[in-house]
Amino acid sequence: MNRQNIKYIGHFFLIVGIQVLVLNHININGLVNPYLYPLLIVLLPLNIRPYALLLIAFFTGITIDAFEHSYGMHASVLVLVAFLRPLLFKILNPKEQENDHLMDMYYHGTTWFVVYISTIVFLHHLVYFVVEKGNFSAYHYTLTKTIISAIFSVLCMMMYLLFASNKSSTKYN
Amino acid sequence: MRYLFRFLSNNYFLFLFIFLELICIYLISNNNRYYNSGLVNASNEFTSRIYKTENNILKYFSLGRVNDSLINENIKLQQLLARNFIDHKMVLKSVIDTSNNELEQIYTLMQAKVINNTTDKAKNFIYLDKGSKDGIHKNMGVYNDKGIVGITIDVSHNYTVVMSVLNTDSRIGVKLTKDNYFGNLTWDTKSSRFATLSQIPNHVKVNKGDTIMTSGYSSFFPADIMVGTVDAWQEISGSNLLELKIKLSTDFGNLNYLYIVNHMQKNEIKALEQVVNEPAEH
Repeated sequence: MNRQNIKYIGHFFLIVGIQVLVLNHININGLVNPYLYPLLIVLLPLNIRPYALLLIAFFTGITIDAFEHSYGMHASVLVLVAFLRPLLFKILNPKEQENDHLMDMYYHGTTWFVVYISTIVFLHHLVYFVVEKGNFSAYHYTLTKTIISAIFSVLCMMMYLLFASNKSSTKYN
Repeated sequence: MRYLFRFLSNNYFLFLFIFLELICIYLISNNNRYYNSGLVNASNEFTSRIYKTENNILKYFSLGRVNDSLINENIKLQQLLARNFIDHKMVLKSVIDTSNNELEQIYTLMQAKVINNTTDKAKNFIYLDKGSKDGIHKNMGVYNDKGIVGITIDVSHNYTVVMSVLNTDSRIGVKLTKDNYFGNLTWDTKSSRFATLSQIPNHVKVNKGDTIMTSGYSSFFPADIMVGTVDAWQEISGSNLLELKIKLSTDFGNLNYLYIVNHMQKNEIKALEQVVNEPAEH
């Protein structure tokens, strides 16, 4: 139980708390559904063991599902996103230095991180809204919902990271 | 055999992923039959406790509005008391026979407060702050002064989960009040203020504004509880039925205190239904 794990558990409780108490109630026009918890998968270090990645994703998904009485929905989407994360890294090619700590992605550099987080969030929202709807009818509505919710989710995540990280601007750029 | 194990352990990432997804698909597809199992109850108890704490903080913001609606409802109910009526027929009779007044209570009511509610998903659930220790069981109807709200599906010791009318699995027996034609009320996820009633034959003359009430044909709700009014209707092509769009009288965005109704003879009706539904043995 080193410091990294304890910090991650702290993030877990805080993010699940914010998601369940605040963000689950936000539903403007039926289109804006921000989700903060994909951040928990985004922040995991690069060289985490693959089975741990999938199990953490599953457990997080089930926890969020318990609050919405929708057992399995968030879990299935989050496990899929966790499975595709290594593939995404092969495409996006992060820099190789120091990848075994929690927030290193965030400290890599803003552009790369924004691209990375947007891809994961967009993928997650797309799959989740399609699974929630159950079929592919009304795909315009689902696609609009995905894009607008993804924008809001990324904004929420960046705000959370601003408050919850201790990135000092002199150490990294 | 060894080759198989080596293949599995080399690709364990993929197989673990498939295994977890299968668990998730099992959970999703079994959602209907998953209610009231021990694990679900334990997690409901935990999540409801968090909602209750949140509600304890936030309920002060709606105190004024809730008080006003409760006072209005009290006035309506007070007016229904028997002492406020005079029976003209009794005055004209010379002999008044009151010896056969046997009133047996069939429905009992309990009250609970909503601690969490959603209206925007395909399957919406409502969490209440009373549970089995207060006498609530599964399959009880829930309504408020405006109209019906749902049916209890999961009860733990202190909390209850209600399947809202705004849920694709919800089916409630309702009727057209003026003609008594009945059908099942379902929800098509399009709007939180409208539901759908099918199974009305198309020769029935329906007008906009006709009231819809519970039929009393299921053991969840007593008859004549307000459900909504007819807003529009169309014929279902290829059958002789109408599909009615019902404007729900309940405001699902604004639920505070709800009544939970218990049908005292529910077990007897359920036993009878099971006998009828079993295949006949000759």
